[in-house]
Amino acid sequence: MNIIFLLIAASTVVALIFLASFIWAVRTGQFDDDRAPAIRILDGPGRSKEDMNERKDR
Amino acid sequence: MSSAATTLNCYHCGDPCRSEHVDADGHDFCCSGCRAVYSLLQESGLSTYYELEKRPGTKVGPAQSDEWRSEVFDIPQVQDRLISFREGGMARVTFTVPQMHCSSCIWLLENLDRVEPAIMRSRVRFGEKSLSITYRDDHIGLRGVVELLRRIGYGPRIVNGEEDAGKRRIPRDLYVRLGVAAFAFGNIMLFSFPEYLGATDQDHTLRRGFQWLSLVFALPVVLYAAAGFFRSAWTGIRAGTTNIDQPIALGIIALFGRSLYEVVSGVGPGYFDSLAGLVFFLLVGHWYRSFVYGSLSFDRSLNDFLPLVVMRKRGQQEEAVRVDELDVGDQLIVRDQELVPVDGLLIDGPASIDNSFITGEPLPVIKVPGDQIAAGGRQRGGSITVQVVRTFKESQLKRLWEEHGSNESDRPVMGRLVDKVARRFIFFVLAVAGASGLFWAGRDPAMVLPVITAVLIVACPCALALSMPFTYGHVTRLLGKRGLFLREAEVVERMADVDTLVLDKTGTLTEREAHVLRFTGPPLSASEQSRIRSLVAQSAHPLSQAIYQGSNATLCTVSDFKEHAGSGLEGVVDGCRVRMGSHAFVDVDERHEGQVQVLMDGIHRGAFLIAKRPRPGMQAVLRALGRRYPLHLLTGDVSVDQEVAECFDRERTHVRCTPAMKASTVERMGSEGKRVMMVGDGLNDAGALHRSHVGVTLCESTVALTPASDAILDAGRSDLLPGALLLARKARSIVFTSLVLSLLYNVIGLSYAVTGALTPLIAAILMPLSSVTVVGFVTMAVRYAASRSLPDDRQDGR
Repeated sequence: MNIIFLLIAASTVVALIFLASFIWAVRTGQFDDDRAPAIRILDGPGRSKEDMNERKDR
Repeated sequence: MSSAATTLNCYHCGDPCRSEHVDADGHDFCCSGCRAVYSLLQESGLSTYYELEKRPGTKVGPAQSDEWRSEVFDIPQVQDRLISFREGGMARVTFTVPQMHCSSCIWLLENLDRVEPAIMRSRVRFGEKSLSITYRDDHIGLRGVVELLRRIGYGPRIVNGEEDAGKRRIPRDLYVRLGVAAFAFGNIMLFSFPEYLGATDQDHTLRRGFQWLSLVFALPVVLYAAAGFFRSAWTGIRAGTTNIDQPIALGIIALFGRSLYEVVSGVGPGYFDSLAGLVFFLLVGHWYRSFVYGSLSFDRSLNDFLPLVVMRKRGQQEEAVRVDELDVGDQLIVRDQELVPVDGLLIDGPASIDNSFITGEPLPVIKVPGDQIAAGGRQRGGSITVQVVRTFKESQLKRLWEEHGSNESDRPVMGRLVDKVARRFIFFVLAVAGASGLFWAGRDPAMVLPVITAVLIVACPCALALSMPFTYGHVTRLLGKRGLFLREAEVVERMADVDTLVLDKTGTLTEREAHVLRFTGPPLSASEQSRIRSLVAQSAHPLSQAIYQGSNATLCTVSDFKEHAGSGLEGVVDGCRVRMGSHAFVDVDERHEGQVQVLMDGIHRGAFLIAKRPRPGMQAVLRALGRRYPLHLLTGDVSVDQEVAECFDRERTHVRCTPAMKASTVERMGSEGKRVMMVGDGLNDAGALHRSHVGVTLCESTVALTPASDAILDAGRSDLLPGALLLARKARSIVFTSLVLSLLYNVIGLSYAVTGALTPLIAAILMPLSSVTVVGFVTMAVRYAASRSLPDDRQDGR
């Protein structure tokens, strides 16, 4: 049954990857605006370039 | 089926369609302005605007008097200030557009390029209500962009001072802390299951393994996620004050210390799950507090009220300079609707200065060359030339601001109820811990430490710390939806304390723009009305505007029109020579009342009595408020008209109040122990607002600037005030009740703790249970109280 520690270790690593992604997402402003991106998709592809540039100069 | 019973609402903005109702394309519009926006959007293929949300628009009224004139945006210096990036014919500007409130707004603002091809792209940041537009500078200038935005009802709010750009409603690192705490909480809970579900010592390694895992996962919680609580508790200790974070910090330390000891020495499993859960719930409370605020800015610096640039005369040339670049002796041009930013001497042209924002005088004052003009007044009429007598830094306005106005964070920090409770709480907890420690020291010394730490653990005021943000936060949210915006949740508590109401008159109880009250003299015939209206249509003077708005007579042609700035108008209409204006201008005895005397073909026909109308519904609001609170009126005007005066006691009505007098009156009331809520709208109220217990500014449009205050009230929603105050009082009793509830949990927990029977399982159940029930109770109680106190919220949830 001690195999469970290996399993826990493995799943912890995976979970930490997710935590790291979450922190990255917050830090790069993915969650800053929850309403505008939802509306933006209604316009179809090709309209949302140059966002990274904008985010940098905040 | 009866059309008399149903009111039609505008397809664009949702306002009821009344006298200016327009019918087009099968839809009803309340005015031609709304219809114009609709047409524009239809032509550009943007009808999705109306499909995403119902009635998404804002009514586009006549230009607000303190909006910058569009010509200002052609001035290079202004462009330099506003434009963030300009190169190769392209430019980018970022505006604050407070009117955006729904999906339709976002959609439209990001599709501006379909309305105006010179706009390349536009991007919305909804949380901050900001709009970034990249446009072809050579095809459409900044002015064109602003005019377009204004046309569709999304005119930007331009502020001279530093807007708190980049300040986010909810700081990013709170999310990271919440994420870490949630991550740890979830995992530690899972690791605790074997312990709670009956792991025996047969699985010794497993048990120990999980205990150590819990310890490791709890480390980031204590060291990072909870760091804010320790900082705040420490700050309080250094300042000698108590706050709610101190017992929290104590609880966290006790939890961690005890658990660390238990796991390291193998004595037990520890309380890591309660620890992580505690920190998580508290952080959720913090998040909720920030979540409920809107994006309004409540602070002001004096620079916010100044124009971006002023036009200085150099010989025959005009140059645009900043206000602080003006020297004594410089001559500057002030145009219609512009602010006079310095104390000066009038050089050219009679001036009509509206000081209502600064002094509260409701009607413009006529000045002739040679008169002094004080900084802060607004010119209504033609262009004037003013010679600088005192620069802005030396002006009376600045002095006024510094003496009586609000300086940033000058306000005394009011003690929150919860912090006061914290003081007693800490005392109580330490007392119980000490007493039980002594008790056990006698019986069984081995129990002393476990019991003391158990007491500190259980006494951690999780539910206590949550009841306030969730109660007041919820109230803030409900009020915000209806048009009363609070600076922070604590304002609700202060509102509950209020026992006196002080109100300003001009602009607060009355509308900002002047209206015709009545015509002295025999009623005008239709043709006479026609002639008068046609004549005043030629003039931009506020009194002319008021007369124009006050009638809907048909217009006819005017010949020989002459406007004598500051005195009156004359012209020939329909064969009749009409002269309108001051007593001197029409050569009529001063005793005749009315500001605009009317002469038709030399005969004195009568006069128009013009004043600022009380806001609709204001009387009812005052009566409702007067039932519970003593009402005081402070006004810069020399008299108060009937409708308003009868709501106030004679001794509580103060006229001719200078801004300084207003401030000192409120201050005096404060020192008498009264807790004053001040409602005002202009700079002349700034001092009083600052000194009141709760300051509320009435705001007519999101674009207009108001002095700093604790709350901003939509001018059309003044009916909220009585209900809001009632709700605040109810909210305070809800907080009291929830305190009792949470203390009940503490007592139950303490009974386990002092008897040494507080197992991790019991702690793990008690903590979340108390938090959830308190938050749940408080949320439902507030919702119920609001449904009984507040009028219905607006359909668009603005």
